[in-house]
Amino acid sequence: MNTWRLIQREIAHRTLSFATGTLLVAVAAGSLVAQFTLLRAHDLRTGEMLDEDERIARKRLADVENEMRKLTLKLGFNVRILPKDQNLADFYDKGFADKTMGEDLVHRLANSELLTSIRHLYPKLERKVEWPEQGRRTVILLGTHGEVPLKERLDRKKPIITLIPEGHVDVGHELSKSIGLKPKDKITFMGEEFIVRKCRPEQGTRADITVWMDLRKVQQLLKMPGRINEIQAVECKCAFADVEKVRAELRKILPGTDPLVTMRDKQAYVRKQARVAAAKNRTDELAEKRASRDRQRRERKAFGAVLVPMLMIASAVWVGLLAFGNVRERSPEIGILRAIGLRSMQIFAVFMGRALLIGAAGACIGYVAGFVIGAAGGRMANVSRAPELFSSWLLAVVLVAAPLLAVLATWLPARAASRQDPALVLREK
Amino acid sequence: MLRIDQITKTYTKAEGPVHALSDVSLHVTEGEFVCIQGSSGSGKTTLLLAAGALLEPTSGTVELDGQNLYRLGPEQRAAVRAAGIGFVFQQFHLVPYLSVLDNVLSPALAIGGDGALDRASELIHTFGLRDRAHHLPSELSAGECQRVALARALLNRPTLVLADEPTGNLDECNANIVLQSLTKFAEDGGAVLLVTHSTRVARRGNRIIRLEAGSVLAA
Repeated sequence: MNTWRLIQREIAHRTLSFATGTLLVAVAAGSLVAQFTLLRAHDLRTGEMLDEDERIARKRLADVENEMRKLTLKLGFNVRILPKDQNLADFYDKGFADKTMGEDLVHRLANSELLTSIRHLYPKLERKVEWPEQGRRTVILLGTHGEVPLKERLDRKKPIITLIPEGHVDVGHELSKSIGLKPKDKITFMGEEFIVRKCRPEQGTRADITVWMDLRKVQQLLKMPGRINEIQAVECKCAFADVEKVRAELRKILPGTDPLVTMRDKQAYVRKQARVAAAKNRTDELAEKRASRDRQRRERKAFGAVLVPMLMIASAVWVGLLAFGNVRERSPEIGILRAIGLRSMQIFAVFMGRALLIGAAGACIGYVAGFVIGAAGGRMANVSRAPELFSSWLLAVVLVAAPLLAVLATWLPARAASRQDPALVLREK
Repeated sequence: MLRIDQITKTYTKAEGPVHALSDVSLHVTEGEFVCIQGSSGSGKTTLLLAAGALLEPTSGTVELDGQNLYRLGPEQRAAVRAAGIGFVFQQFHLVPYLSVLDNVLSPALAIGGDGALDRASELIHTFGLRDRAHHLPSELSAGECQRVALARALLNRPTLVLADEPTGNLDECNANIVLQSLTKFAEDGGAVLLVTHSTRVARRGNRIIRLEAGSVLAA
């Protein structure tokens, strides 16, 4: 026979009283666990929701980015690098630079590790000429070398503008239409034989009266070997935002050459601005959603901050009242146990032991119930998500706090029991 | 063994002091079976509780084996009760949720030690409760309950047994069993102080002390 057995037998005898006490402690522990689990679930859900939104936003932005890239490609280029002594008034008037620069500049740019703001370099030589074999009609002759790939991108990406094979030409829509040209037709241009590779679709620009051919051939026809009059930079990383940066880089890479840098494509610029605005809108939406979730969290936390202590106090009071009832009910038993020689501390220990068991059982039940309620409230009631919500420190706190709560609530009744006068009880009986 | 010298006990009540015991003296030695007879309210139970280190008298001394009980603190008195005094009450006062065996063993909670289980088994056998060892008090007859209480009183081998109307709720047969057990305890060298209002029961003792209105009338 020992105190533990006495406690065990008493609990088995007064199951309802023990169960009620346990339930009360479980309510207190459960409310605490539910509150913490709910907030934890809320945080996890918030993270997931925002991550998902950001992922979608990133994808949309990437799609827009790609669309922009294609659009920019179709439009031609973003940045134009011109010979340093080019008169811009003439340039805008004629539509091309009448000054020229060495073709080596484009290779120096392509090979430079300092070039970070632009890619897809596209050298060309363009002149307005007469087509002697077609009644001296005026055409734009454009020699292109295709893309000069950047050193760092040599093996990584297919050039976005390809070379026109030697002996071939592309002709603009107006030319092909008025002359009646079609692909594979043979033509003579400035005394040289060419095969029409492609009749380009209608653009509604000077391109419709343009003849494209390999840069070398144009340099030869115009007697301007090794010369170009423009480098177009397609898909510039930041050309819209910071042309000055491009200029600064060019100054570093091509010291002394001082090429001019200008921009074009207002439409692309507007689209870029729209994309920036869309990104900003998305950022604002995310921020608003985050703020809303934060506000919801604060409200839940504030509600819990009131409810949980209230429930804990109410539970403690009820556990104390139950313990007082238990002491009253066991008064004759306490009297006889004292009479046969049990010390007051032993009587106290009997009640404290019972309280500890109530607290421990309440902690376990409360933790499980609170966990489930918190997870369900936080919309994470899924067994597979349980490890994310589980908190060992919270379990430890509850396993310590709940028995402590029960012990504190039972302290006064247990003290009263231990101080009970056995003679009074025995005489009354 | 037990020496009670000129004890008085006065209860303070709203309607004035009540003198439960007035100048009572009593000496019980080993092997004696002393019966205190008196009517209800004569102070029998108060005298028994005072003798059992449970109720401090207003004046006078109570000594057990030469030790003045009320010079000791409450915890020391509890230790004296655990080791040297056995109690038997009219209402049995068994712990309702403990089996017969556990009830008999309950005094071992106070002093522990080895051999309690063997001693309890022996007492259960002696009192004819072997078949009832694992029954709850609610499943026992009154006679069985009192035998359990008697076995519990004897577990720690006390030198003194204090019995308050132990046969009050029993039939004649069971009353005889209880009284024979107490007689045997006294014959084996223990001391018994039994309070009763029954002359028939009182005659079973070696000595009868008559108590009336808190005073000893005759010894």
